[in-house]
Amino acid sequence: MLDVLRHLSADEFVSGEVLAERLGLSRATINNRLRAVQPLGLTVYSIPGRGYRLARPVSWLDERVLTAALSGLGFHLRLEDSAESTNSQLLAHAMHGLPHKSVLVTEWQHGGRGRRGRPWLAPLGSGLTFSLLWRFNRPLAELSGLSLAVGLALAQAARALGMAAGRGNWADGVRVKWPNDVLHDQAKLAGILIEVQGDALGPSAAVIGVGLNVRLPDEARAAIDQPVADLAAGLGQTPERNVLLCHLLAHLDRVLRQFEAAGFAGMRAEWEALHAYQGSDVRMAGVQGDVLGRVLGVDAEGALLLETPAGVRRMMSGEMSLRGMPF
Amino acid sequence: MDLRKLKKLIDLVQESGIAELEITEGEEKVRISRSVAGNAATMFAPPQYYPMPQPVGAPATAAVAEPVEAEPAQPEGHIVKSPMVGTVYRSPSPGAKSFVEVGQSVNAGETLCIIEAMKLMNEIEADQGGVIKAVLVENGQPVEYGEPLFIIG
Repeated sequence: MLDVLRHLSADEFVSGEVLAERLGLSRATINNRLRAVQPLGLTVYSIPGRGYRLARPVSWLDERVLTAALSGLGFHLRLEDSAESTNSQLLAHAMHGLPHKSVLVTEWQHGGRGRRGRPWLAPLGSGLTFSLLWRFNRPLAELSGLSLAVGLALAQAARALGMAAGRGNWADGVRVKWPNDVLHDQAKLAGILIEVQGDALGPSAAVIGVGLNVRLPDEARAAIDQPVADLAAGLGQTPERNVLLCHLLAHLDRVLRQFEAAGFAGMRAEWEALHAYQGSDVRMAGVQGDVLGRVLGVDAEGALLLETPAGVRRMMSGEMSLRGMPF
Repeated sequence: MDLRKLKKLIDLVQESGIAELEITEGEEKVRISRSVAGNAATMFAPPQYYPMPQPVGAPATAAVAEPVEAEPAQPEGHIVKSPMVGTVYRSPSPGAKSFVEVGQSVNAGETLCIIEAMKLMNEIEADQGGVIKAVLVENGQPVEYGEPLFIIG
C-alpha cells in the first residue's frame, strides 16, 4: 500500500513516469494508489506535467534498520504497512506461542483502539503505533502497576530526548497522569492500552500497545476531542521515527525488566515525582459514580491514594480530571 | 491468614461439597462448616482463634469474624472466577451490548467480560463451552481475586 509513498519526497517532484519505472507499475496504478492514501491524513501534491511531491517530509519506518538495531536487545520486530489494531493482532498471535519481546509496528493503524472502545487516531506518518508482547513469570494478579510502569518508561524516554516545558507551571513538561497517560504541558502526548492474558497462578503475558504523537498535522488536532501534544512541538524538530522507536523500546526494555524483578514498588517514588496531579484536587469518574479528593500518591501496587472527607480511598480505576478543569 | 486464602478455602468447601474443613496454621485455626441440608449458611473462624488485641473503646464485636451468609442457592455448573482484582465491564464499550447474558450458549474461548485494573485490561474467556446459567456481577462492579463471575452449565 505504501510502496509508492516511499518513493516520494518533500523536496522535489517525482514524475509518474519515473515512479512507474522504479516500481514496475503503470502510471494509472501509481495515480490510483496515491489517491487512495489521501484520506489517511497525508497530503500529496500532484501537478500535471511535474509529478508528485509530499507536503511534509515523512521518515518511513524501515524493517531492516529496526531489526538490526533492536535484535541486540532481544526484540523480534515486524513492520506492517497497515494493521487494524496492532494490539489485537499481537494478542491473537500471543496465544499461539509468539515469542517474548515480539514487536508489531505499523505505519497505518485503521482500527486503533483506546480504552473501552474509544478510537485512537493517528494520520499516516504522524506518530508511532506499535505493540509489544512481554511474557512475565509473575501471575496475572502481580501485574498490578504495569500500566504505571509503562507510562513512566515513555515519559522518561521523552524527557531523555530533551522535551522542554512550554510554560512555567510546575506540572508542565513531560509528566505522567494516573494510571498511564503521558502528558506534555498537560496535553496528551502518548496513549497506552495494555491487554493481559494468563491465569491467577501461572505465568502471564501482556500486550502493550503504544500510540505516540510525533508530529500531528493541524487538521488532526482539530479532529481529536481533547488537548493533544506532539514531540515535534516540544523538541523544536521532528525526530527520525526509526531512531525514536529504538529509543522508546530501549526505555521500555529497561523499565519492564525492572518491573519483572521487583514490581512497581521499586519505581513508585520516580513515578510520583513525575505525576502531573500529585497533591492536586481531582475528580475520579467511575461507572458507579464520582469520587472527589486530593491525590496523596500511589501505593506499591500502583493504586491511587485519594484523601477524601471520608478518609483515604484506594482507587483501582476511574477517569481522573482536575477539579474545575474541563478535561 | 489473609482474606484471599480464606476466600479460597471457602470456595474450596463450597465446590467440593464437604461439610466441614478445619485448618491449623501456626497459632491460627480456621474452621469452615457448611450445613449440607436446609439453609446453606457458611460460617468460619470462631473468635477465640484470633488473639487480636481489642482497640480501646471499640465495640466488642469489632474483631470478631462475622458469619458469612452464602449466596442464595446458585445454579449448578462451572464457576468462572476473576483472576485479578479490578472492575468488571460486561460490554466492549459503554452503551454496547453485553458480551453475554443468562441463557446464552458460549463456546470455549468466547469473551465473557473484561476486568480492568489501572487500565490493565483482561478479557475473561469461557474456559469451557455451555450455557450461561448465572451472571454474578454487575457492570462497573469492583471484584476481588477469585470472585465468582459467571456460572456455565
